[in-house]
Amino acid sequence: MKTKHLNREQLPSFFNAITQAGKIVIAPSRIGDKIYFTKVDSWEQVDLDFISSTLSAKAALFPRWEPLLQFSGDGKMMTVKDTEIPDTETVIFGLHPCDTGAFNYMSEFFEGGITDTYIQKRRSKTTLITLSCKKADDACFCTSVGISPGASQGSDLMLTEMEDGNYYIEVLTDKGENLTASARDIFQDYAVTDKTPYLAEVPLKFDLTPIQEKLGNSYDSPLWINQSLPCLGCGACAFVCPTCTCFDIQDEGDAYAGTRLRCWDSCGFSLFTLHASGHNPRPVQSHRWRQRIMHKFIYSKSDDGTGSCVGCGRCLRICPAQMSITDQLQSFAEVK
Amino acid sequence: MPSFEPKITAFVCNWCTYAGADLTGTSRIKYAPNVRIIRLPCTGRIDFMLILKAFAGGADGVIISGCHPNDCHYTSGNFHARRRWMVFRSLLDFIGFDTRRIFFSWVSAAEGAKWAQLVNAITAEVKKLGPFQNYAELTKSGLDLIAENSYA
Amino acid sequence: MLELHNRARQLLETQAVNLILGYGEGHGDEPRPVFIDKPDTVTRLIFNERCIQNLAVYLLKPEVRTQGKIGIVTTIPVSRSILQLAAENQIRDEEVVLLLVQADGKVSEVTRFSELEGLVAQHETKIPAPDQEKISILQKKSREERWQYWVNEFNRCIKCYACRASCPMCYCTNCTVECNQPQWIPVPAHALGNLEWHIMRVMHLAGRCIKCGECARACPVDIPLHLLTFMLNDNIADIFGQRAGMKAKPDYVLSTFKPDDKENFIR
Repeated sequence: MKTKHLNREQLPSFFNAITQAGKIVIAPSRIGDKIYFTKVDSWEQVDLDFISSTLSAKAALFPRWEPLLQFSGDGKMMTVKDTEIPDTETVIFGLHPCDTGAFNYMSEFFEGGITDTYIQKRRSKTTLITLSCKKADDACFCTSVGISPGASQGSDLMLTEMEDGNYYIEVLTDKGENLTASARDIFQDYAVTDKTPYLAEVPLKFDLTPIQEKLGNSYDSPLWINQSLPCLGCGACAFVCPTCTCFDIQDEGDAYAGTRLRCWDSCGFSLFTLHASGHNPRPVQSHRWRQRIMHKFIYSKSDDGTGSCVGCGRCLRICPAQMSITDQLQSFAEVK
Repeated sequence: MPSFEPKITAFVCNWCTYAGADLTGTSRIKYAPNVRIIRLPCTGRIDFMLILKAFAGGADGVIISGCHPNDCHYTSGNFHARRRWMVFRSLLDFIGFDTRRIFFSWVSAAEGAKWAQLVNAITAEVKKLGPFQNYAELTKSGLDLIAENSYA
Repeated sequence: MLELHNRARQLLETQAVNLILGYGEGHGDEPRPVFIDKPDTVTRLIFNERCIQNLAVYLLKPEVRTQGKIGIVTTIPVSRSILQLAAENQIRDEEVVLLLVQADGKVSEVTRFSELEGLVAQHETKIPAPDQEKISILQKKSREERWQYWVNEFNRCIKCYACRASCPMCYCTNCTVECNQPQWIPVPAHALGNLEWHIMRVMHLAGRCIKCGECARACPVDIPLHLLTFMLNDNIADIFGQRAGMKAKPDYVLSTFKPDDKENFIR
């Protein structure tokens, strides 16, 4: 790992060097009083002063919807054309460590086992620039799931803002190295530095390992029924979540031409598990809520055993019924 | 370069306007061929989604036509339809949808000449408005994913 | 709050209701919905000006309905939702006890919807001024500008259906978006699908919406959905004199008509 220093005023030059090399930049941008990750063309559109974006950046890898193939026919012959993922390089600038951790999980999920070639190609063309968190709010709980405001796992380049407003840079991978090489003269060598003074405090909300054990034994617990009563069964939590990967496949068009595409889906929807026979194995919201929690913390595989939740807190912030994933887990902690 | 010929979809009721259009034909009155007529039992059956689907399917203009008030074959279908259209138009207008491209009329089974005049007039109006660009942009399914999904 | 707690405790202890639905302390400043089934937990109930979520949405959920008779802490929007649900035959007097909390903390219990009608009639049904302002500004723009505005807003829509889930009037167990023969509303969150979804949602609420604004509050990406439903429903009230949530008897604008309904656009 190399460590560097970058002056704050040089950020726009770094940005320009990336775009001039023909890469696309996806960065946080302000709309109203909220932040969204979006394709940006100029540094002025970027806003790095935020705790969490409303939607995650997962769409850069796993879009809201994407065409998988297109078909067309003339009545005699049918032609099918697979979608070509472009070769364009993408740089995602300004992820927080929770989001970068999420990209790790997404890559593992979509590329391990049966490989999703669309996402694999996109991931291979994407460079991740992570920004350490200097602020956090009550909804953040990354530290309870094995991540921290300065965690660099999965980052190609990590930026930490120091007290003078300039940045401490960790160059962690070849991709990160290539990126700094495109603007070599704005980075100065710098000694390895302890980031802790510059990081936000994120108190632990719960102790995950004993809770996971209790969850594992709580499939039939009546707690699920009471806890799930406020849940309205929308898809907001799943769609803002950076590690929710469920999708639906839809065909659109007519007998002559059309598109097969995939789009986000949520296990919270009442018809998510509806079988063609009419049977629904998760007919009530308590089953669906249980599925969500169990999947996030037990069923989904991750190297460090913490499940797929990265503690970004987005679900907490946007839930119209304040379901609060941290409250749910804390209540299981109290189970004997 | 061929000049623009609008595609017009017409949702008409079986008992009045469809019969009226039949009369136009049997009377050998020529009228603009741009219209595709879809027959329904009554204007009361016309769901507002059908109008949106016609535009999504490429129509540049949509006509909805049925029996005059008090003449509905099912007594009150057209009264309900009228209310529905008043409400729908109000919403579309607020959204900024081009309501100049949606036309409503009462054409009876005896009004063969009126149907021809109506279609000719509407075709000319829609021709002047040009192709429905707003909807063409919405329905374009691009493969340029990053531009298409510019919000993450 | 004390009277609310006492009443709630009494209702549960006498088994007049099996569940009380109300507001409790949530995270930050926001109250959250609470479901109280034990008399000793009634102290979780709060009531103040921050309690604005429309709790009527829970009344028709099977998970709540199967619990038996429900007590619900009722605000004016909740009252109107309940009246509208009653008008649509979705709920009966015998199924709920309404707890109306006054500004001074006094609680009145209402068990007949006809009583509720009198109460609701005394309250303002106008669109709140800031929202009316936004609607007026939009109405003054050109058609093209309005189109750009809404297409831009709908661009953020992720089709999470939080707007649908939080609306007490969206109670269909098989929503039209879930029909796939034919697929009326496209599933993906693309531009056309989003527009069709929102137009359809507002039309299905025409004359049924009581203007609680929950749809816009629930939206995770802050689309001002309430402007659409508020505008349309005020329009309907002005033109047809029909307003949702005022009476427990149906007066639905799209299933009624007057032979002389006046319009100016039919040729």
